[in-house]
Amino acid sequence: MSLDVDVHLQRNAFDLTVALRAEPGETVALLGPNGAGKTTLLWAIAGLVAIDRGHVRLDDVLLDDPEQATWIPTERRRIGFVFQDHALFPHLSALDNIAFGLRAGGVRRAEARRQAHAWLERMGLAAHAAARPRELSGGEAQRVALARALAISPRLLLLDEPLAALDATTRIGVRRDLRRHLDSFAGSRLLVTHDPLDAVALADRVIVLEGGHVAQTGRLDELRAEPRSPYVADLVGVNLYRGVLTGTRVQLAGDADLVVVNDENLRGDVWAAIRPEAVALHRQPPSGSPRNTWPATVTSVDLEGRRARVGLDGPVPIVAEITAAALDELVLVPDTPAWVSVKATEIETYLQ
Amino acid sequence: MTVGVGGRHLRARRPPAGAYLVAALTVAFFVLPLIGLAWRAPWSQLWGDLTTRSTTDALRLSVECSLAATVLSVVFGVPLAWVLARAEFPGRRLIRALVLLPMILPPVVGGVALFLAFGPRGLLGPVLESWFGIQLPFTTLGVVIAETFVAMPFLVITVEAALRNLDGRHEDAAITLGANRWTVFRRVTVPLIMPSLVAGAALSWARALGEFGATITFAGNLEGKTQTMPLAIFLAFESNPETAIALSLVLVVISVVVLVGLRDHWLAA
Repeated sequence: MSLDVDVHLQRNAFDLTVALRAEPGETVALLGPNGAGKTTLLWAIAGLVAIDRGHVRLDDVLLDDPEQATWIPTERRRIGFVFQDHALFPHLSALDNIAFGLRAGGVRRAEARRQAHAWLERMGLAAHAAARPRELSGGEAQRVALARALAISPRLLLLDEPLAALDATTRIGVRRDLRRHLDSFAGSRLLVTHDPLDAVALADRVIVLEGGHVAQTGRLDELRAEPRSPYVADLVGVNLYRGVLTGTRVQLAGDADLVVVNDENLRGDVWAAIRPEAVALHRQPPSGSPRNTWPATVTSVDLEGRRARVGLDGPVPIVAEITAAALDELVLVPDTPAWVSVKATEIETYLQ
Repeated sequence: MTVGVGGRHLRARRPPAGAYLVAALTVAFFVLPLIGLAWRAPWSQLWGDLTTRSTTDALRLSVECSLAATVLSVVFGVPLAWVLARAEFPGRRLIRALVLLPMILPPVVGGVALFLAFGPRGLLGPVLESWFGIQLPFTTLGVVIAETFVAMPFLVITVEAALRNLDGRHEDAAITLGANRWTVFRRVTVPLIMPSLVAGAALSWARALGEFGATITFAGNLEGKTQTMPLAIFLAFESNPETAIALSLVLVVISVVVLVGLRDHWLAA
């Protein structure tokens, strides 16, 4: 049950141009900042908005293609949709929410309720059959929403920020459950999120959308190895610079440069990526081998467990990740001066 | 939002003493007329006054016509509210204003206008008469039409606001689950706007029950045919005030019963 999408649509000043494929049994995460077009893309696939050009094809069935005047309306697409904040029907019980799609599909009342009950049991919610949505916790509502979407035996499952409505503590447990339930669904899954942790936990592959266009695709470790936009770099927590490579020197904007290893003899416009763990900090100008050394000013310090992320301003703005012990030893607080050094071998360069 | 602490309102949000005084006077303003009615009511001969032929006719006409007007308001008003709330088309604001005009138009003017549209020499009257044999002026049907004309805007404005404020994602969800437009409307949209629909219907019904000006202008004052309670009360007040008071009490009781019933079920106060 593979999905093949080539969407072009224009809404006011916003232009969405995205092509993607998803294979059966695969979970693809759509990551991107607010307004990137993630939700609009899901709507276009579900048929809640029409596309201007391109096609939406599911299992070789054409659902939408303006040029061929093909349009299957939403209610006949059999695409499961889990909405942001769940959108459970507030006037119906958990059981009737799940039975809704079956009833709409012509299943008799008793049979629909029997199947809905089986879903509640599978989701561990049998005790909440009669509960109205407002009586459910965030995690329970999320499972009802998932069961409601899966109950119609969809050919594809779309999830719009399924974890956004949950608080941080329930999120981890719900994420694990969601992974289990997603794995039990045979079709492909398309999941919108803005949290890379969701993508790591739930998705096999990531598509990053920015400004209505695909910025980058791949597994998250591939994105981390070679981020290709400032947003992606920020997402995976890597320092990224745009520059021009000549020999072993990358000329950056603002007269700064980096010395790199260039075994492949690349030249021209490149990205230079530096993992925060590879950045060394010092109180005094370092002596010895590092070729990339510059004075900087600490702008921020964030302690996360036993690691600290230190933001620095200077000729090359950079984020360093050091141990909490090193942070104590260096006595770094905002507005103090520090020296930055990065080994040439720690800088990844690749063509833009 | 926190309104009070431990049941006591925060000092800055408490109304000043002067406001309490004015509020008490205002309550008196609303209550005194009711007391007046009860005080002068001919309690001993009440049953006799209420069971005369002309009174029972008026009461029956009032109930039947106002309920018919409410049904027409719902049947025609809900689709109109739906279109006004959800569709984008040029002139939508103008149409909305025109539809709501009867709310502020003096009812007598409404009656005159109805006469010019559906009267024997009106725009549509001759067509209705010759093609369908339907006569509206000075008929019971005319009463229903006059009441609907002034009452329906209350339903339209209430239901339109509810549809506009409705979270559309529930309808989106229903359609992704395979429900067609009609099923979505019946099983999701209507249940979600039900409190507003009931409130709007009640407002329309109350307006229809009390309708006087448009009715007497368009449908006249024919006993047993177009003379509803308000018309009967107005006429009796000249000649036979006791009967007018008795009839008024009946309308007060009906209104109070409906108000209490609605408050308990739909209008959480």
